[in-house]
Amino acid sequence: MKFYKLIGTAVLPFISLMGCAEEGSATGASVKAELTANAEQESSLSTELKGKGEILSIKKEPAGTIKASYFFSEPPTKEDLANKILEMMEEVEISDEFIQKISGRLIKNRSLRKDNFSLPLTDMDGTVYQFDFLSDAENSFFVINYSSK
Amino acid sequence: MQFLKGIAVTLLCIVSSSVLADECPVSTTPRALFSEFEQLASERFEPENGKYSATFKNGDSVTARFDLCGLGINASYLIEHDLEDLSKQISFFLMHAIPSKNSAETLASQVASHSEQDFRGGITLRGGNGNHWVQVKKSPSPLYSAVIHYRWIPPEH
Repeated sequence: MKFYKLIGTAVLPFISLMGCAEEGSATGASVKAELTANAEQESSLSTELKGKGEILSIKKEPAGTIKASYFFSEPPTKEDLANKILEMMEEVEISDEFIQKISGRLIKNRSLRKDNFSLPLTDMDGTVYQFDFLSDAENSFFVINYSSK
Repeated sequence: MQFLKGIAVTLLCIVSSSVLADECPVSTTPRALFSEFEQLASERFEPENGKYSATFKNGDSVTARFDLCGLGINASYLIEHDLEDLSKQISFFLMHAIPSKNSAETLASQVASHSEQDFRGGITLRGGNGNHWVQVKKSPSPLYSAVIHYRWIPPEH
């Protein structure tokens, strides 16, 4: 009897491991790698990490124009796209009045259903805010670009 | 009697572990890929949803997604400035993104034997822990010059 108990005790700890036989062996990679040649170059970007792996970068050009790009790694719904465009409009300091005005109708825009689109939004003064959406489904990489004209 | 109890407990363990195994037999452990890199400007690590992003002092940024139900990693590295030596940058990125230190060193050393044109078309590096897809593309954003995409394709079970 003692013999069976002994075997039982020895086997039990291993059984609990059976459900997860393989984990992504992903703890290493504290590998020190040399930085490449562009290390000394200064960035002209202001980059914000938005959570969920999303990145928003803004560039203010000397002439005063602003460009921005919003990157994400999952296919967006049209609601996601509308919300991200509105968020970008706030970040690049487009007037609240115009944002308010556009927010209701943006979601209804048919362009937002496409895999790639070019969406110019014109305000009351005739200023055009250009939003372009580009998809790379194979690499799971999506971007909305903004520029003003 | 105690022996029977032992068998019952054992069966219970097997059943419960196999039930769990049916849902997600394996998962990828999310990592903060560039935490120890001295050029890091900021990073955001969300292991609960398998997401990671980081930005560096030179303007480059990276985003990564870990498969929490299965094995897999998707990562993209955005390069702000044009590079003279693209293969060096690819090796650097792979060293941090590939999920095993040994494989990373072996695979990163293979990068130099491929031309920039190879990477533009996309290539699969074969390693001990599966395949590794690497592709360099012109950046879809005018703020960056190029983007390196990486995908770990683990061996099938």
